[in-house]
Amino acid sequence: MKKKTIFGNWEASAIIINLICTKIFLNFPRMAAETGGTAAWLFTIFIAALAFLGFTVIQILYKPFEGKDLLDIAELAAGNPGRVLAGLVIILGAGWCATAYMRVFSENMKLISLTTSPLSFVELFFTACLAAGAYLGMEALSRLHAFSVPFIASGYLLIMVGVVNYIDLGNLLPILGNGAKEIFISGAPKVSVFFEILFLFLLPPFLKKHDNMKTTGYWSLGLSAFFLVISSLVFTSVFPYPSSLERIIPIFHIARLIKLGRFFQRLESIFLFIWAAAALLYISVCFYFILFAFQKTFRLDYYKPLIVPFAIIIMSISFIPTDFSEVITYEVSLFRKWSWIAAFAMPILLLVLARLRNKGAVRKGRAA
Amino acid sequence: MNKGKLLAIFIMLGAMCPVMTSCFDAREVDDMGFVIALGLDKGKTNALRMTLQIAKPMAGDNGGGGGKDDELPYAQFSVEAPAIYTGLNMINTFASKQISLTHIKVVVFSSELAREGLGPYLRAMIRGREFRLNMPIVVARSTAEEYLKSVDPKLVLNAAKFYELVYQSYRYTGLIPKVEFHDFYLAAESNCRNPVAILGNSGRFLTAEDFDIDNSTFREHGRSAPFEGDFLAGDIPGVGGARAENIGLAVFDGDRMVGELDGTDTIIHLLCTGDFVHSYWTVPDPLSEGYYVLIDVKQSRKPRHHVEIVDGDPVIHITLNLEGDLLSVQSAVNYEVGENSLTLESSVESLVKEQVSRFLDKTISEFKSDICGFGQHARKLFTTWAEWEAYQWKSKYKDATYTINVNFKIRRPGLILKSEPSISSEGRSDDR
Repeated sequence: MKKKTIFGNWEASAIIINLICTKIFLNFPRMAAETGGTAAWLFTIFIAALAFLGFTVIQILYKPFEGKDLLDIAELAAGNPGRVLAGLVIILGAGWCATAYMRVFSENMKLISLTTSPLSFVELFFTACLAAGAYLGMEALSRLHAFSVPFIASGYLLIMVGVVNYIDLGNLLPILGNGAKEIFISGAPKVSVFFEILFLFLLPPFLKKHDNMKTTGYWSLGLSAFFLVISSLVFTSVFPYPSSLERIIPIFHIARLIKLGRFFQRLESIFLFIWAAAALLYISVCFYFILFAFQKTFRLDYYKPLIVPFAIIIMSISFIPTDFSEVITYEVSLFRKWSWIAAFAMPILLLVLARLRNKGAVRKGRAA
Repeated sequence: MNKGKLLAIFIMLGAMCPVMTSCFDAREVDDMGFVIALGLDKGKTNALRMTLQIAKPMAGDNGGGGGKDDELPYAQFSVEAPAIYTGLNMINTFASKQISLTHIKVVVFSSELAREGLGPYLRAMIRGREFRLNMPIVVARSTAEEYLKSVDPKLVLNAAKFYELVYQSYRYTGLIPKVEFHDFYLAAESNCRNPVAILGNSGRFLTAEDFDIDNSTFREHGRSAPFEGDFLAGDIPGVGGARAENIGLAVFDGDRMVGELDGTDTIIHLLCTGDFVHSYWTVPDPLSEGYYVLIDVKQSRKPRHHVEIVDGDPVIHITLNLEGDLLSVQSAVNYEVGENSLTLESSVESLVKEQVSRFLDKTISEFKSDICGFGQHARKLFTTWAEWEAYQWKSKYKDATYTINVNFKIRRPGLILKSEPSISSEGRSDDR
C-alpha cells in the first residue's frame, strides 16, 4: 500500500516562505527600489496587501474543495483539457523559476565566490541537489525546510541588524518616492513577486484540511511580507536611491558593509551560506513541483523516472540566455509583471468555474 | 556485506572524489600577496602611477617595523599603467606572489588626480569584488607614492593594524573626517550631499630644528598662535613615528576635489554631521587673558538640522549640543561652579558659533559644496523624487543662508573640584 504523505502547517509555511523570500537574496530589494524609488518599502507593503487580498478571495472560494489541489479543481472546472492547461501553466511557471534561478544563482556564485570555476561546474551542484531532493520526495523536502528556514531567517535578520549603523532613515525621503501612480498603479502587477503562493494550491492533499491551508497561507504570506518589507526598508535606507539601482546582489552588498570592531568583519560568509541554502531549497522544491504537476497532469503512475531527464533539461535550458543581464531582464520585466495571472487570476477563475459546475451538478441531482 | 551496500559505498566514494580535489578556485594563502594600501597618482608614461604596499606575512611576528626599508612589514611596488586592473597585471609579472586586494586597508589618491575627478577609479572599485566597502579614502597633498613611502609604523608591528588604527583617530582627535569608500562613493553620486576625504601628506620636517609655522592656518582663525587643529597635512611641526600625517579634509564636488580644510574645520564638519565623538579643545580663558582652558568636548546628542526653503533658496538651521569635562585651567580661575562656569560655557558657545559660521561660509561661498549633507534634511520638503530632483539642491546650495544655535555645558571638573593658585615669595599667582 502506498504511504500517504501528510505534513503540518509549519512545514508547508516554511516551503512557501522560502519560495517567496529567496528573491530577497537575488534582486527583490533592487526591483522594489526601481519601482518605488525612496518609497520601496511602501511599494512592498502595497503588493503584500494585494497578495493578502488575492489569497483571501482564493481561500474563501476554496472552502468546498478540501484536500483537493489546483489540478483536481481544474479538472472539476473544465474537465481533462482544464487539468492539462492548468498543469502546463504550473509546469511552465515552476520551470521558469527553476531554470532562471539556477542560472542566476550560479552566475552570482561565480561572481562573488567561485570566480574561476566554469558555470557548468557550479550548476552541476545545483542539478545534483535538485535531483536528490526530487528523489527523496515531498516529505523529505518539507522536513528539510522546517529545519533550515529558521536558520536562514536568523542569518538574514543577523545581516539586517548588523548593518544598523549604516541605516539612514533620511534616505527614505521624499516619502512618496517615484510617485503614487508609479507605486499603486504601475506597481500593482508586481504582486507577481508572490507568484510562488501558487504552489500552496498544490499542497492541499498534503495538508488535508481547508483550515490548515488557510493558516499556512496567511502565516507564510505574513512572514514573507515581513521579510520583504525589512529587505526593501534596510536596502533603501543604506543605499540611497538612485545609487541603490546599481547593486546587483543587494543583500550581499549590505553584508559586505558589516564591520563590528576589528574582529567581526566579512560577515558576507554568513550571507553566502544562507544564500546557497535558500537557493538549493528553492530550486529543489520548484523542480519537485514540475515533476508533481507533470505526473498529475498526464496521469503518470511514477515521477521518479522523470528526475534525470528533467534535471538535464532544466540545466540545459538555464544555459540558453546569453548573459546574466538577459535572465534578470526576463525575470523582472516579464515574469514578475505577468505571473500574477497564473498565481491569482487562474486559481480564482478555476475555483469559480468549479463552484458553478458543482452547483449545476447538485441542481441536476435534485431535479433527477 | 551484500552487493547493494558495496555498490552504495563505491558510489559514495566516487562522489567524494571531486570534493577531495578542492574546487577550481582554491588558492593557497601563502601563494598570495595581500595588498594593504593602494596609491594612485598621475603617471609620467601612462595615465596612472599605481603604488602598492604588499604585506610580508611574517614581518608582524619577527619584530618587523624598523626604520630600514628591508625591516618594514611590507614591500612597496610602483608601476605605470592605463588603469587599476591592468596595473595589477603588470605588477603580477614581477611580484613573486599573485596580488590580491581582498585585505586592502586604504586607498590614497594624489590631489592632482582628485582635482581631475575620481569617477573612473571609483567605478572600477565599486564593481570589483575584492575592494572592501569600508576602506578609508585619503587624498595626499603631494603624491600618493610619497605618502605611502613615508608610512613607517613605529608603534605597531603589523602594517594592516597601523592603517586600521590611524584612520580611526577621528574618534579621539576630530582632526580627520570619518570616511569610508562606501560613503564616499554614495556621496559622489548623490544629489543632496558631497563627499570628503582624509587629507594626508608626508611631513615636511625631518628634525625639530626645522620646525616652522609658516603654513599654519592660525591667522585665518584670528589667533596669535596655532592651536592643535590649525594645520593642513604635512605642516604639523612634529617628528617621530610615521612621517605620513593625516589632518584636515579634502572637499569634493561630485567626484572632483575642490578644496582643503584644516583640522579645526574638520572638527566643525564632524560636529555638523554628527560624527564627532570627543577631542581635547583649547579655549582662550575668558577671564584671564593669555591663559587657556582645556576641555574634553563630547557631543551630548546628535546635531539637529532643520531646512526650509524661503523664496526658492535654502535656509539651514543647525543646533549643536555639546558638553565638556575640564582638563586644565591654566589661570586657576574657578570655572567649576557658579557664574564663572556660565561665563566659560557662553565663551565656548560663541567660539563654536564663530567657527561653524566660518566653516559654513567657506562651504557655501568658496567651495559651493554641501559636505555636511544638509540636502538630506531638505528632501522631506518634497513629496516625490521628481519634485526633489527638479529643485537641484546642489546648484542651490551656494545661495543658502543659515542660523546656528550652540548649547554647551560643563559637566565634570576632572579630578579637581576647585582651582587654587600657586603661592610664591611674590605672593599668590592670581594677585600678581
